Amino acid sequence: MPMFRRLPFTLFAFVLSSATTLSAAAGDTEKLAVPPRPVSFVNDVMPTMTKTGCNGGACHGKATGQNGFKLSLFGFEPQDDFEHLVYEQRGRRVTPSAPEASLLLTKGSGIVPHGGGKRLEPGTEAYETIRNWIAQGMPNDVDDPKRAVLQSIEVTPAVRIMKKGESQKLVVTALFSDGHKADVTAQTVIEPNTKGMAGVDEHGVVSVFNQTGDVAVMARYQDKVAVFRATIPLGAPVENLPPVANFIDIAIFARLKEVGMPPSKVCDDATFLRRVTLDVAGRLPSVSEAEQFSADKGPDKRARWIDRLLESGEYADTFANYWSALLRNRRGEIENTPDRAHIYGNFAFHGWIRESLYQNKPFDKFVRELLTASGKIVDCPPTTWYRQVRTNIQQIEDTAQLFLGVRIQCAQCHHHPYERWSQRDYYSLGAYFAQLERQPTSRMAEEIIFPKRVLPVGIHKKTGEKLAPSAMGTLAEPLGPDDDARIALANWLANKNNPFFAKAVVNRYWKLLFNRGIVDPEDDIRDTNPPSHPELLDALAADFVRSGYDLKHLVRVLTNSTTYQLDSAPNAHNGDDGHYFSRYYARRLPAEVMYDAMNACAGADGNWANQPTGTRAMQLPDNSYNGTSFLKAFGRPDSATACSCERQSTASLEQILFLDISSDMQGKLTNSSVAKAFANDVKRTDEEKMKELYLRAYSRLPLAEEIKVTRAYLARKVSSVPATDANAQDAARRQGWEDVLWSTMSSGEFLFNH
Amino acid sequence: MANRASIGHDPVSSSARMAVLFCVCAIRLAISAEIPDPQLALIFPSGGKIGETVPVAITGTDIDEARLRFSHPGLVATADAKDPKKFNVSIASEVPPGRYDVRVAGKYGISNPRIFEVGTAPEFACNTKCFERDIAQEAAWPCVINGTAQSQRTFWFKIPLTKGRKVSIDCQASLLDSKLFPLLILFDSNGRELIRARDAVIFWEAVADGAVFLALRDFMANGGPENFFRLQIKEASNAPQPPPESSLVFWPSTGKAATPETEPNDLAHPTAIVPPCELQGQFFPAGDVDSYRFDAKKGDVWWMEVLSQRLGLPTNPRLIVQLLGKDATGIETAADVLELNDGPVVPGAPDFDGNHLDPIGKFEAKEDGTYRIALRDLNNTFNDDPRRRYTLSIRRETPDFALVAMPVPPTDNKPGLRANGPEVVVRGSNIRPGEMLPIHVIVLRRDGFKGEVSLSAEGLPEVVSALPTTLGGEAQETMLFLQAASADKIKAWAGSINIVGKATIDGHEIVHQARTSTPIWNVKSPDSADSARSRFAQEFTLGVVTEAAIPTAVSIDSKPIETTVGSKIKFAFQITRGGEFKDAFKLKPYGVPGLEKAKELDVPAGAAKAEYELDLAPLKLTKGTFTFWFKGQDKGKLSVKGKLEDLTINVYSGPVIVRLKDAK
Repeated sequence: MPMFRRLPFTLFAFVLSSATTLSAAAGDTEKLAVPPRPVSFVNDVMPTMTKTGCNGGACHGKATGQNGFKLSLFGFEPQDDFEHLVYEQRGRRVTPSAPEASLLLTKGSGIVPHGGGKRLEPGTEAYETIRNWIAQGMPNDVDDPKRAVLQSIEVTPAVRIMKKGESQKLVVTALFSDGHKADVTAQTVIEPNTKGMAGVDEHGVVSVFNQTGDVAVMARYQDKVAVFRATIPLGAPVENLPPVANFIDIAIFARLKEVGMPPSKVCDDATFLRRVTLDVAGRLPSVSEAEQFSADKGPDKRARWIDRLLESGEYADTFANYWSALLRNRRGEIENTPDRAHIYGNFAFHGWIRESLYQNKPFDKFVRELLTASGKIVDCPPTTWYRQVRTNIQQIEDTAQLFLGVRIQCAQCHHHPYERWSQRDYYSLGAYFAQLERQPTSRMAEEIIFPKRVLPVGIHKKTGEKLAPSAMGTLAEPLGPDDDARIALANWLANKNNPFFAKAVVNRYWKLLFNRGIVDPEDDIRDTNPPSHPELLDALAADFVRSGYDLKHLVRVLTNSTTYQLDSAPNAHNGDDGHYFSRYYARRLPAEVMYDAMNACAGADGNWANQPTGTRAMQLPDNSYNGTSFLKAFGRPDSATACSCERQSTASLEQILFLDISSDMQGKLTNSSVAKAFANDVKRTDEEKMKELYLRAYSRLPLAEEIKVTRAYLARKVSSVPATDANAQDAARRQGWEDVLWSTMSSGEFLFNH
Repeated sequence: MANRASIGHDPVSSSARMAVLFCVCAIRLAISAEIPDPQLALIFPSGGKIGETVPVAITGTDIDEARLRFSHPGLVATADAKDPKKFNVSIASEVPPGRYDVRVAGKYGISNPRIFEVGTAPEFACNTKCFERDIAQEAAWPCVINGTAQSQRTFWFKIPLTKGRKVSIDCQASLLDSKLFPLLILFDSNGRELIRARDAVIFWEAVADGAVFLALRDFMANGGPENFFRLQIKEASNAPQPPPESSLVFWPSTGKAATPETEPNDLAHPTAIVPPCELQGQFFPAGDVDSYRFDAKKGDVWWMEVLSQRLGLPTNPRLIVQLLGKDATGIETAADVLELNDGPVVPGAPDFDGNHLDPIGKFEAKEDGTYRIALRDLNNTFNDDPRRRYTLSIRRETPDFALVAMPVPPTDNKPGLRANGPEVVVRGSNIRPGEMLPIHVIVLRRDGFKGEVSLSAEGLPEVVSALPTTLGGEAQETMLFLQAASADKIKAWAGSINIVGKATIDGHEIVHQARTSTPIWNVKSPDSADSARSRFAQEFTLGVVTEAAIPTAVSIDSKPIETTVGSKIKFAFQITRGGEFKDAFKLKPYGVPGLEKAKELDVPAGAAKAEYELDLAPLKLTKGTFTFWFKGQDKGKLSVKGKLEDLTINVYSGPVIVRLKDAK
């Protein structure tokens, strides 16, 4: 096999790169001659085939291949691809004696009919690269130790503020193991994350469209990715910024100034009270709380209220509900164990989560206790996690997604297409769980979790290689059979310099409170999905680590920021903002919160199996209660995955029908102790009752117009029955209040946290 | 009545064949659910104050003409004149505080036990209206509050405290046979949650004067009579709680005083010890590995046993022994020679749960050298929990045994030694006229003891006799059979008996009395959410019942048989039947592993005799002593409570001891 010397090409590429960069500023896209040089299968041919789309997921790169020709996805398995290209079907795809006659080229260039259309133009660099490789006898340098191995790629420029409609030529430079750099722009796949905001041509020229905002453009060459981020500012004047409460506001406001987007004003007290109480305690403020908060003239009353919420059991209920779903605390799907046998474990696990949050257990300790849980559920409730997360695959993927914010699933079968994670990374992470063993006990559905006394190794699915424990590209840990590798994993997570752990959780909590992650989706942190405010994410993570992984501190910092307390109503400039946090992004109440809010507003109690009377939906321990039509309709997650995307927050016809005509809703109204009390209360005026109702529902007092309309409706209702019929009058009054209650609870102001 | 048991074709067995003494082994009894068999479901309240008389009520089945029988003579119940299920229990002043068994003895025999606890604190009834904090029940303490959880309801108690006082709040339930799984939540007077405990004791020290509020409910919001409790509120004691020794069959003591561990005793700094010895330590802090080293000569034998999980602790110890050495470069090496994890697998579940996670095993030095023990708790991954303690016993081989006896339920769904099958039925042992009554006996062998154990029963009434049974050196379990006199001679009786085993160990006769294990609640099906639970009872009781004589008897010669390994044995039976039991039925042999696949013996209708030939070769039994018996099911009609019922009854032969020796 010939060996390749990259130097001539490198020099050429460097010159070419410089020239291209210079000319790129003018958007030039000159054609380039292909150098007569030895072609590298790995560094030239495979990237070319990726660039032309041959090995994409929709073509030959899908798991089953396409029309009998299979390539690895995006060329992540070059040895396999070499076999398929050169040897499969008796080598009919390549003809070294007449390279242009190779099926690979005739199909690719459309000379022979090709289902995928014309992908190669004769005479282009891509075409010539493949032709030359065939002409040179299809050299295979996959295992050549002297081949220059790609180390990293860099996109130039990395960030830029651009005007609407402007273009920017990107240059992708690869760094190889022999130290040389090369311009690989032509072989690099370059595409925007948000196709509606920008486009990229075949030469790497990015053109932004007419939208304001940030757009990330991903560049992928071989198994490396890099990102260019363009910001298209609005350009409005940003003056009179709200007061800065903490470092969050400094970062957010600076970015708003940069993009020229003035923030909304700070919300009023009633809005803040309702918002933060719903977010942190999962409930509406009571009437007395709303009145007291309104009457409180202290300058720090918002901070004091946040502190009070954080000390309440309802804070623990709310966040336990969140974590319980993500940690798959659910009934069923375990072989030979009926659902009811899981009640105890699920309740205990939920109780452990809630207690951890109530006692403000440091988050690193919380995760340590979860990952290293051993023994029986009765002694160690977090072993319930291992009851549900049973396989090594689930343990790898849930751990990465939950605590690193990384969706590593793709790397189970192939190199992650949008990330740097390989199958080695995947199964090396799995090695931390390789010792996990289960021993059944004499009790139904009970098992003992413990580490087997074996070397912790992960088995590479493709190569069968035994891999030592290694977390996300770190050095493999020399662990022995007497080490519980899960402890080593917990230690790595809790290391203050861990680049993932703190970021992942602060981003999660940011998403919970701001309704969009700094990285969004919040559990998909990757180079190609960059944060909207990278410095802020770093600062939040650093602050969280400094606080000792204090979750209450984190919520306190977030909710005390002016950014959190901005009004949801847009100003003249930020109505379209869904990115810069220039206003509070209103959202529909989560199913459990809405259910409890309706009960609180109407005066009703929840009644759930195996729960004491008065239990709120927010306190339910597992998914078994989702059979309730309300919770299901409004998207309570089923705890079947570690993804927060299970919670459905979109609107549906079912929800509308539920609010409008369901027997459940009707039942809430007819059984409403509030409507009954209002109807029977002859001492208070309708206006006084409306004040109570509005404080219950909205934490504010009704406007004069609202009072006027409501009073008119109530009067009309009563007047519609004979004044002489006392029973009919009573019924009409009662029905009138039920109607008012219904309209209140169906209103956007009620259904949304704003 | 005589019967014939013949021994197989082996000529050596001719002497045995000649010695055909028949014993009337009869019977059977057994029963379908319709044959009365007393069960005591509940006694409430389940305790009282020493020196006082407590009115109690019982519920159960087949408890006609009930009397209460306690395991302490100082507890005496007097029946209520009006209600046969109510009693006044007088607790004599000399009765020590503690928990005692109470059973019902009546027309149909004696029941399973329930717990009755006596103490010194004033006793109160739970106020069943105190479901809100605002109307919490005042709980001036020390006190014991007896109550029953209600479905989806929470009881509230107001507990007065003064600053600095420490209170212990213990909702006793499972230890009293209750199904309740108590959840206790303590709040301050402002409604702030202070602490919660899931089936655990709350210890709380008041930081200020003022009441605290206790919420009590079932963890899964269950309620009903089976979910009773005794809420004990008292001054917290700093004294360590004694280990629950009652749950142990063996105490792994070397007889030497235990030596506390001295830190550091980690792998790099193992503590030097000289066996035999007993060591006490803690798995503390999280991840702690305790290490000891000792010198041994080739051939030295030591038995190593850890006691930790059996103390009710949430531990899972692992013990590793390694031979220390040095490699060519002088670096210390440690080569595995022994890994011990759990205790031996013990039969008997779910009636007896003798399995545990404490390592037990034999160390035998293969060469002279220094050996290092590494002892860790696999569960000790994150909590610095000082409760995680252990005792490590390193002793000379001390063979011994212990016995556990269990009544066999009157019905069974699964053949084999574990006669209770998938369904768990709480019960006592009751014998009827002419009946052959099996008692399930498990032998737990220590330090590799492989000697024979002869079983018998003591304290039997005159009308009942025990048929000798021997547990061979490999056997872990068998049935001990009691035989009752015929209906014309029998007299009703209820009392405590002893199941005893004798063995010769190192030339000395060793006698041990069996402990009694009992399931706590009926479990109706294997997929029930209720898990079977068992506990030790304080005595083994027997009821002799004059009702419902069993009409079918299977007699077999009980004289021991001597034959050679791999031979065939013939068993001959005489069948006696009466009443409405006339159809053909089947018998099947039991007693050693492998008999599950043995053919059944068809006993034709009207047959008075039957024979069964058992080929020992497939069973691969080696030299030793084995006990066989036969069991079948007979169908017919029997008068039960004055009514003729269709019944299926179990029929047992008595035991036959077979001694196998090697062929010449």
